[in-house]
Amino acid sequence: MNRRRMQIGGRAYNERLKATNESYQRVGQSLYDSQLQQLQSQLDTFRANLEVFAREHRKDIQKDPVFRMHFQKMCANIGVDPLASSKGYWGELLGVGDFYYELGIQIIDVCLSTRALNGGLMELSEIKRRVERMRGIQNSNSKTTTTGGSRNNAPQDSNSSSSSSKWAAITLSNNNKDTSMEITEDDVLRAIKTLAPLGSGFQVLQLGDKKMVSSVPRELNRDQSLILALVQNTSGHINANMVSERLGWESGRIETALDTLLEDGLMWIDQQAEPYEYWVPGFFEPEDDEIYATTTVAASSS
Amino acid sequence: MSDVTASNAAAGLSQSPALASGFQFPSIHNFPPFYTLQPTASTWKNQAELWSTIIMRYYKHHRLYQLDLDDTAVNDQLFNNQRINRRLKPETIQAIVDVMVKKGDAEWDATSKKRRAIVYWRKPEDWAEMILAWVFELGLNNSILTFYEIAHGEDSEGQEFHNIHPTVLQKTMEVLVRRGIAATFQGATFEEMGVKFFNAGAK
Repeated sequence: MNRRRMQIGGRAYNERLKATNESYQRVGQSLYDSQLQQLQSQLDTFRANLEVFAREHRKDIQKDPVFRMHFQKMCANIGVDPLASSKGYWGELLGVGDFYYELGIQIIDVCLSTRALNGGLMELSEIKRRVERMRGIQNSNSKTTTTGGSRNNAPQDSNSSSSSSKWAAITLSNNNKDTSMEITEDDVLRAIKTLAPLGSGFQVLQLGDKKMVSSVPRELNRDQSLILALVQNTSGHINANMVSERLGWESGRIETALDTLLEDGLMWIDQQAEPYEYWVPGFFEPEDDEIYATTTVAASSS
Repeated sequence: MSDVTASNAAAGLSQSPALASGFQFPSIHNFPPFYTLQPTASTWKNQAELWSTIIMRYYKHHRLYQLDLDDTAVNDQLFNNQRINRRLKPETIQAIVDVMVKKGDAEWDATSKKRRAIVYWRKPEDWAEMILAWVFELGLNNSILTFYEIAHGEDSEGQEFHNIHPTVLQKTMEVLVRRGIAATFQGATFEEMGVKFFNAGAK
């Protein structure tokens, strides 16, 4: 009897316990729900703010390379990549995916139009320089609203500003260079990355302390890479003696490496020098681009 | 007096009347390997194209027509870069002209054993249009003009074809005759050759 009561009491206890648990759960759930809701609304606010920010600064994002880099970094930190593609929410909102798409096309253009000269290997900074000028020129042709004059604004690397202003002085004297067309090396690298799914075969190679972009699918062997890196510190040209001196190779190895660089169109030979000098092309002045471009067009159409 | 001679001498020495008269060589003209025939076929193809572009522009700029391997005055400007002490060998120039001939941009003088060539920086067809326009503008159609009048006459002064090379003029006239726009008449000499333009040529 006693025992039975106990049993009843036990059952009642269990029931109570269950009820308590349930109510805890309910509270927990509602807490959880409200937190989620809060988070959701925070996220909405954040997204709305980011939207507003992006809309408001859309022009800056497209035009100001430094601003674009900061925006890009900020977005990367929170796990969105708004500039990567023109498809999808961010791309449609900002229209900035097109930025890299367009840049990618210009990079292809620069690389292909100089390929016959340099064998399809070009310094990153050189690509940037040429693309910038191309954008400047295109801009002057299809000019809409913006007139330049704010040239002192952005460029962090003095190199680009001096070469582009030199170019401006030479050919575009009646046209103010527009900073909206400025890009960074980071932009170029990013655009090359976005080209990858197209099977473009573009590769970024680290040679010495410089980044080079190869527009021809190839594998540079170790010796070729070492020589190309060496040439960066010898004003763009080199001879067998110099290679022997600096790298300590025997003559057969040097000859093979230099010959393959010639065969790949990466170097030109000067046989009027003693000993023969091997040159890396691609350091020509910007005012000549037009002649190279027309020549390449002529060459490919014939 | 001595000042004048000195400055004359200086003028003579300043190596480039070409630069003085405004022809700007592209920077690859200062690239030493540009003067060596490149052993890699693709590189050479591009090198030859670049050279022919430079030659055509240089010839157009100075209204030159004949490339002569023995004409040092022109060649010293074009193919000899004193600044970097590099020059194109005659064989390399010939190889470049061969490329130009294939493209119709030049033509070897058949008797010269590849020492002389005409550079067509403008095609005979284009010269034909230009001369035709001039003839009709002056109302010289239906009268007979001599080759001399076209190339050196007062009326053609200031025209781009003034002082045109006889071979180029000849080719141009052949184009017009072939198209039935003009008829030529034999003269005692080349310059006395005559040409009559028909009204049908008017546009």
